[in-house]
Amino acid sequence: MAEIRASVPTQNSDADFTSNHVWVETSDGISFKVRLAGPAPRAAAYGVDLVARIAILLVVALVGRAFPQLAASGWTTGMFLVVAFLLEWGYGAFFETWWRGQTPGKRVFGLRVVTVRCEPVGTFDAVTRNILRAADFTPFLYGAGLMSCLSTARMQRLGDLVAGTMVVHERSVTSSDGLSGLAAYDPLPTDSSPHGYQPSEPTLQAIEALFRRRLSLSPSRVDEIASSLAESLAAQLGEPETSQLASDRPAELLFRLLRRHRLGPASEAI
Amino acid sequence: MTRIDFLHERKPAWDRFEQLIRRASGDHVQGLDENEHHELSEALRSIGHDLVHIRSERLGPALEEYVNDLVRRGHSVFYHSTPNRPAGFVRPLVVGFPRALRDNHVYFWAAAAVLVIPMIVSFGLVVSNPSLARRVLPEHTLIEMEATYVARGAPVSSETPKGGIEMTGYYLRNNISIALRCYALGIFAGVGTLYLLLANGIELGAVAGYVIARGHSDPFFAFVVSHSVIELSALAIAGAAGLVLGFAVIAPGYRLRREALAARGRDSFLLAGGASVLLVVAAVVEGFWSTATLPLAVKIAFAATSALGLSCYLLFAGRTVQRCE
Repeated sequence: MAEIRASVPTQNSDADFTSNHVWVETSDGISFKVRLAGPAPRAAAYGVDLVARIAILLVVALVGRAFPQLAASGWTTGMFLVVAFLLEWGYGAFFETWWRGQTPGKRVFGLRVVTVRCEPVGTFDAVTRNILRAADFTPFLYGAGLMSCLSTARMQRLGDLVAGTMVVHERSVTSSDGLSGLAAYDPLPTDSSPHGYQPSEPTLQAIEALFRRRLSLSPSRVDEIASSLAESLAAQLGEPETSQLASDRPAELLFRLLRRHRLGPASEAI
Repeated sequence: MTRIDFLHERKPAWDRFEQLIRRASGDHVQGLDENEHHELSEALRSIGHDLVHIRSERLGPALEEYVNDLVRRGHSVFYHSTPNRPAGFVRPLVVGFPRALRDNHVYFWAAAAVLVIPMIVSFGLVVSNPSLARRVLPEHTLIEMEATYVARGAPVSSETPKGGIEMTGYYLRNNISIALRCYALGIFAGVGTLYLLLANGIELGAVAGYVIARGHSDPFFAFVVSHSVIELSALAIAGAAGLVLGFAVIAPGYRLRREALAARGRDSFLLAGGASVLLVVAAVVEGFWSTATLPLAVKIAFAATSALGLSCYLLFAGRTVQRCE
């Protein structure tokens, strides 16, 4: 059975160290959940940004070489040094200000820098956290940043601590019922439960969890997981048709049941 | 109310809300007209209540996640605190930075002492015994330094660049990197800052002492005098920024350490930012003015003017402007 989560977060809920999310409270006293980005996706985004920075430097160097008269007067080297300097210290600050918390790398991986109250970052926050990179980088390859990230509840590196920011996963759930694809299933007819059996909420949540993971598993594995629950549900529902379905395509039985209880009979479906 | 009734009733509001925040997030809330702004504000509140309803009635994790996401997106659109204005750096520079320096003048004097006292000591020791310079810098660097100061009144070598834009670029990168590192490493209880100030002070003093002990004081002063006031002040200010962070870690007072860091973040950042701007000025002077062949008196006059101007700016700028905190 699925674990039942606390449906309402405690009032003054802060981050806890065992989960990768934090609760943010609005001015109405309503808490919503934000998923934090850990060191791995952030390192990947950093890698993308590093490649972009090197590419820009290469372009500047090649353009500079194309003009020998500039190179002779020292402009090429001078500009190269200035651009290298600006990229080293200003790349992250520029993009995180301009794109409100995202660099190209962060955009690729769906990450965003926000303040600890989940508001968009300002110029000050973006510049500060990027200057403090120098401290996070010590003693080598972001060792200090990693330690800080792993030991703070909001997974903040040192720059985030000073700027009051955190990096979050920005994933949008697009379907307005929260269960995209469920409408494709026929709802289980309502008269198929003569004893008036109603599946419990934990049961439905377990089915929901399986439904949302179905595409990352092979169909036969989904059926395998579904089978034991489908059998006992078929016994509860007590119809020959459903028990046939439970042994043939157990996942389909569960999803049709879920469809009935989450979205209603076909005519009412949104 | 069943889940299905709830979905039927609220779905139009959610769709409309998504539409609003999609339009708004492109251009912040300013992208919306007066009515839409009002609508967004009401909708954010009512969708927050939907989220509470979904949790308390246990309408399923998928729906909860969807509405949670709506609230999160709406929240970050609606509470976008300050729009980023391109001209927003003027006020921090003419008011915020000099004020932050005056508020934290103890840190500045501490940093200046850690930079200048070792510099004077190392200068004095090297002048009286030039061979000591080899303990600070490798011999070939010293010989290069000497040759270049003699030749042009400016360092020139295969590694250090010629003059003008090239030199400006070099010093820009070199000096601001040192200053920003000096600031950032202050977060380790100030140890990184103190080390960098000390190391730079000793090194600068040793180079100056060595070049002068070898009898090249005229070209050396001609080069160094114009930009040194701004450059050393800026380095001490960057050091002060680092010490502010370091002290927030050592003695956070009644706050948690991370809260103290965030609280002192703004001041320390203003100091480091101001120091960087001063270093940009110093690098331009160093690249274009210091290398010019002008009478020493002109350069000394320039240095005196820059020192006076810098002092006036740091002491008086922003005093008359009302504090907004």
